[in-house]
Amino acid sequence: MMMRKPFRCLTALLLGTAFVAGQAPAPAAAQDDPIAGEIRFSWWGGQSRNEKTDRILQLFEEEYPDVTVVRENSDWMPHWDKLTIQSAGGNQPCTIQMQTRWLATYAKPNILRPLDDLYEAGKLDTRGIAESVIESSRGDDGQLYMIPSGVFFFGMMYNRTMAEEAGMPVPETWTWSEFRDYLEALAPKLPDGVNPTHNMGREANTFVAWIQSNGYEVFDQGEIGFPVEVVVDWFNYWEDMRKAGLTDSAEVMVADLGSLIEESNIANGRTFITERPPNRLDSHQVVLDAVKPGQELGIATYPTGEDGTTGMDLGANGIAIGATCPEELLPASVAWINFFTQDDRAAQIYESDNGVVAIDRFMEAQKNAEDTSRGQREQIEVFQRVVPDAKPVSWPSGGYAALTEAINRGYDAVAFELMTPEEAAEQFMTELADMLG
Amino acid sequence: MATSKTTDAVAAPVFERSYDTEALAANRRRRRNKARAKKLGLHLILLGLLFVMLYPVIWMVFSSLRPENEIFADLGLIPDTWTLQNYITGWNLFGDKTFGVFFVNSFIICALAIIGNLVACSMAAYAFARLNFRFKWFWFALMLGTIMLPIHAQLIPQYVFFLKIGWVNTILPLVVPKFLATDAFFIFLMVQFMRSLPRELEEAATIDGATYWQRYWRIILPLTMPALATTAVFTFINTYNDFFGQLIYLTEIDKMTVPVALRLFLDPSGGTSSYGGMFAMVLVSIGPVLGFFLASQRLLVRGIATTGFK
Repeated sequence: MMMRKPFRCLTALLLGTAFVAGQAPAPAAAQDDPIAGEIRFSWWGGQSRNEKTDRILQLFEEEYPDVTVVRENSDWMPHWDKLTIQSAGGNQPCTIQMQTRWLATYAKPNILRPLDDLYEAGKLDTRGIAESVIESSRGDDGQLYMIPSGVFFFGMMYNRTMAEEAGMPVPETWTWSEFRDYLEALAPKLPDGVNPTHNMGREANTFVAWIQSNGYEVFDQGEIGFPVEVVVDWFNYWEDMRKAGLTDSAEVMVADLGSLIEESNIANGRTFITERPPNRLDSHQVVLDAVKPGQELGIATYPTGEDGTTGMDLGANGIAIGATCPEELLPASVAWINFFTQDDRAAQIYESDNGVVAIDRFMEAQKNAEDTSRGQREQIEVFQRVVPDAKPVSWPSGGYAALTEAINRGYDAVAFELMTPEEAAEQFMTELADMLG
Repeated sequence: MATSKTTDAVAAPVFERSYDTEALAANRRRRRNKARAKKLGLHLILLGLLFVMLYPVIWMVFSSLRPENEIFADLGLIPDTWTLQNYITGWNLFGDKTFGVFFVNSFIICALAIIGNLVACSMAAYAFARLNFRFKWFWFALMLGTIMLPIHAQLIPQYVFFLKIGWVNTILPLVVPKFLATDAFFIFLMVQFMRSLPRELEEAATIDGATYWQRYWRIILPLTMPALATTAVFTFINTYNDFFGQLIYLTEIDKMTVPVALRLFLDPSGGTSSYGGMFAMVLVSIGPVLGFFLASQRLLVRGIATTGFK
């Protein structure tokens, strides 16, 4: 998910161009325009998601025979590359898959169409979507830019079999100090060659949980929302664990990337616990089944602050409408968004493929359905448990990529003993501020 | 007798010399064996290095032949179970379309790009190498300057231009510019080559009354064959491997090409990835590049060697 610096510069440059090349936002949809025409829908994902999306599109086209949807699918990163260039040329598709973490970059009236008028007029059907999730789909200017379809949250993945064999089941909640104590007690009971934990000192998602559980905001109106002491404590917390032999080494830490499931230590039974988006439980379990048959992975929540404050971030994937979508195609675009998010058959086909389905009745149905996978069910259960306390971060444009880059570099310098935690924290604050511009 | 004595006397050193020769021969043999052993050792080291360098490719070949769930479970080279399933899955992964569709799309674009570059670049090169016209050096420098223009600076204006004339989601933006001699590198390559051809050949043709076109078509073009081959090979490789241009200009799956389609096997955003299918299709995709390169290797080397691009 990390955006490299040159690409970020390019994005900024190109989106700057979009102000020139882009067209003025389309006016509100005419009330009685027919639902007809050819609209484009762009989304990201691999072939399995492509097939599901295509099946839903076929159902939609059967239901609305006057509408044709042009499919534009690509992989994760190319999706954003393509959208950036299309936006610069004023050629965005009418319907675009969007994510709250990237929203700030694109949430401008000349790139995405503000949806407030359609939302308030009840044209966009948002029944069953939590108000907090809808609120997280607003841009810096307070306007609504996407309708959420799937919600994702961040947590940890652990090897349940190892915890059970050690007679130490993972608790539902724990504080940061309880987390360390737990690992200390568990370490001697783990099989040889298994690290108690991946060193999450460099992981942005875990760091966000730390900041928020300490009572701070990650960003406050686009600026850094926490003091340098929070970073120093964070570095020291992980350094203590690393030096006590509870984490993997610095060399292993930098090589254990979340994006490479098949090679990751958690999926190969070499680490007890690490940070991972819970929607990847099934894909990790498949690998573990092949490597260590009989072992089972589970989802754990991030530790809370000592006073019990939850720090977990929440994000959403959804659908936005391109600013250049012609007025006569708005009814068809709105119909497609409503169909994708609210139709029973669509939800059944999609199976929360891109985040837990945002509509509560589908969430409940999927949890109880017989053919729902164990990972899916566990994800929904944990989600329902944690969602009331979660704190969606208000990410400024490029904020997630900047935080990831700065925390990676900052903690790497500490773990490789090139800097003290204090020096690295100072550098982190300066770099992050610079990157936020 | 005296003669024979003399002969003997003379023969003695001969005998001694022949003894020396044998020793020398033995020495030579020893040296040759030593050199051979050295060569053998060197080759073994080189083969070892080659194996290390090719290991990822070899690993990919074997991985494409083992069941999907064993690919990362067992990092050894030789699979326990052999299967062609990855090739079948990879080829048929895209619903009603096979991977063949992407090959056809890629080949159409490559073929047109090659024809365009060969025709247009060679004509432009001939003009720069042989014709005299006003501000020739200025235009030549300007043409070379386009090599230094970063692709990101051209991206948006080009995209907007092609969008305005309605060419987005067609192969035209990827093909038509090739017919307008826009690849300055190849023009430069051919200019260098044409400059090395003897002027007398053309002068003789001029005396015989040949026009510019006839001189270009009958004299220069046949002699420029190595440079043309180099251009064809590089155009093919560049076009076949071009990911970004094909990604932004071709948006529908029916029009996608091989490099764009290969990305569809993986989903780093948490969905299902098919590494087995991808490995299999990557290997199938390497085939045309490798084949094209092997077929034109001789011409390619000659083209590069004779144009000063060493």
